[in-house]
Amino acid sequence: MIHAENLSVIFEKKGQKFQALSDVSFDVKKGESFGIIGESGSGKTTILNVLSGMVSQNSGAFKLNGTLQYVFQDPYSALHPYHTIGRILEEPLKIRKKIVDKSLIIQCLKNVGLGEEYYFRYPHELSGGQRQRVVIGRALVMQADVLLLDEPTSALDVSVQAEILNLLKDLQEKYKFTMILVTHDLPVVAFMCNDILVMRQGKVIERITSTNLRRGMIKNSYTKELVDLSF
Amino acid sequence: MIKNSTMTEIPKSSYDAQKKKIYRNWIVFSSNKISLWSFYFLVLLILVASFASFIAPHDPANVDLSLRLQEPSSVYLLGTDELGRDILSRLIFGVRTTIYIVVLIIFFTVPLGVAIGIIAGYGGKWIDRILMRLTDIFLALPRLILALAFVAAMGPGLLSLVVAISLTAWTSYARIARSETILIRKENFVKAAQLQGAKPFYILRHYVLPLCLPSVIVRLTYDMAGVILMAAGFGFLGLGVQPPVPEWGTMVASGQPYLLDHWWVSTAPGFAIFITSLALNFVGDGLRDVIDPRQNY
Amino acid sequence: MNIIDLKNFTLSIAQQEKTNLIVQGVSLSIQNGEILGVVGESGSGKTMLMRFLLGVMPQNMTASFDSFSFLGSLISLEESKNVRSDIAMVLQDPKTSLNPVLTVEDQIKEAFILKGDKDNLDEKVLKTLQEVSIQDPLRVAKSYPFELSGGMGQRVMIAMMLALKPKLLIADEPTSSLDAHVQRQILDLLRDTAKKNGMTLIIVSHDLPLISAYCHRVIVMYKGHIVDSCKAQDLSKSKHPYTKGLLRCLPKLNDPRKRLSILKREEIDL
Repeated sequence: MIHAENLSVIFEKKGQKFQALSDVSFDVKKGESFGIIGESGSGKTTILNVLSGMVSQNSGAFKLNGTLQYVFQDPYSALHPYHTIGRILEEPLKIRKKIVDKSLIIQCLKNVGLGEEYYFRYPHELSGGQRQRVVIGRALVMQADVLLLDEPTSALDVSVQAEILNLLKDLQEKYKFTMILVTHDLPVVAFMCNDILVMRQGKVIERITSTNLRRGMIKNSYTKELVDLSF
Repeated sequence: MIKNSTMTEIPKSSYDAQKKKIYRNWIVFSSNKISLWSFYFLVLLILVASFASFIAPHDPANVDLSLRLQEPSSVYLLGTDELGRDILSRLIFGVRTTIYIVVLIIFFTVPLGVAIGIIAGYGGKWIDRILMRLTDIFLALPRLILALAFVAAMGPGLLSLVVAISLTAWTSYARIARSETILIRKENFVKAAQLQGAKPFYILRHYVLPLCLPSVIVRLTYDMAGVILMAAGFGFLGLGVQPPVPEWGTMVASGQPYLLDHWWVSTAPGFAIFITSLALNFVGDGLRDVIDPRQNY
Repeated sequence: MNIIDLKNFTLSIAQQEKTNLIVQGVSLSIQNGEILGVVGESGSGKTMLMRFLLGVMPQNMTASFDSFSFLGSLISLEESKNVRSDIAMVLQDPKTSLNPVLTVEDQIKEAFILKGDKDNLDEKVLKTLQEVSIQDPLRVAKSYPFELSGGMGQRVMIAMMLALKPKLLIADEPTSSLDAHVQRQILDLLRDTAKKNGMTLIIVSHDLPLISAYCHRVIVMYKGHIVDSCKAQDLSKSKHPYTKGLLRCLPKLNDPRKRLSILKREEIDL
């Protein structure tokens, strides 16, 4: 599904160069949940930005088959404030000039755990968790093949986080999309993903399966440190 | 967590949803009493302009030198001017002229300014640079001298006045639209639309434009007050609307020689200009509270 | 001795003919020198309770209580609206709580001057910065807030609060925007400085494991009530359905599960 080879990104600000990514390579299979973990400045979000075309790499290349959609950390800026929830979900169809079938949108609302009564609501009337559901729903409507999740639950309460993570797992089972989850939360990434990339200062430190992570079969000392630091 | 009674009901159509949103905004706007009364005043002005011929007690153009410079009385509520015309009637018909000028200027400036602003803001890089330097050039043109030039070329009148003001006035909308666009462009929902395959024109039309309109409208209300003052200024200098069309600025000017002995000739139109521009400013304040971006995001 | 004794505290806000209760009949006693953890989800009223203690409640809210004493003296309802200078607060985001146009040095000096301390300020600033384990106090003193990393900003924030010599320090989500490494350092720093200066410390957080690791005692807030209160090390053994529910819905590294359990709100009575 995704094949990235030697991705390097250099940002330049006021004459100072900053290597955001250096020689990052990875493969993600179709329908897989792929996790990227790291602290701030590790380049984990830059990978998503490169995949979605928001940032172009300075060297290296990647191949990606299919459509993408982003699930953002901040659910408050992810939805058009003047559009109703229904309109937001119809948007992918409208953009591609496809016929909008309202029953399909309502089905989608139900799939993400929101009822029909949300169709004519505005985003400001929804809680953070509900907005995140709408964002996920939008990706379903556009039949995105790959979901890029950038800290999707770090702005949410833990009880809401559990609901959203469960929802993502259920939907993935049903629709077989690929997920790339970027987070700093080790337990979250271990719960969601089988395959995890540990990043630090733009470099890949280790690629590890969640099973090995749980068993403590960790090669790199930095990864060990991250495990020890999580409560 | 702000919840009010209207939010608990489930909207059943987009009309419902729209209605609720407008109602919510109206609650915010009407909580500011000065803005609310200013708004009522402006509505009244529009009504006065529409029914001027029914409301005005006299013919505004009826010259009768035997009645010149009459003091305010029960027949001539605000007195008469140097040609014996009823000042109240001229004020009432003057509303039409004012609205006419304001609407024409909005028509010439807002669409142009906003279009240039959002294209510059969204396009970025060289598009931004070229368009904004162009804006700077127009901003640097001296208004009064430009107006004098137009009057010399086209003769004094409403059209030269409108063109002279419009030529420089659109720049402020371009600047506002651009700065708003630069903020909107970075929003996540715009990013999401791009990933859905939306073309730049679609994003400008459905995402950028609706979101920068509120600030443009607020700016517009403030500017309208400025335009009224400017039009009055041009009228006062004799560059604007020509007699016998009643225009507030020209009316103030015509009372100038009699200011000490016959104060009412200049006072009434001067007061009308003052009150109207004040009301516009207050309405602008109220609108600014309604569209406070913190509410929308 | 208790530093704070608050009985039956209620906080409400009037919104369009309706009155919403933000905190409902909460009683709270905090011992001198204690580290108290306050846990709750958004909207639980935890932040508003803290703002009331500090005396910076929003204007549109109405408070009531049976009795409120701070440092052994009773405080009337009128007095409770004034800022208590013996309490200081550290907020989540140092970037927005520090003044962007003043250097670190000037801001800390300001805090000293506020306390009526005007001598040898340069020296005192450096000493305070050292106290919060800043390796390079000279450089940091001359920097502006935007030049500092998140962790460094939070240290400066704590240094500033120490300059005020408070009896009680409230840290509202002090580390939720920081990396795991830095999070530990800041929490250690808060705990150690509180102990050294004889300060009482309140840590407000949504992170139960964190609170349980750093506090002596925990109170759990839900919908404006204190629903649970226990020793911090017993948090994981709590019998209260809300606390249990919160702990259960956290993913755990050593526990592979297909699904996370969901908090059943209807089972929680207040």
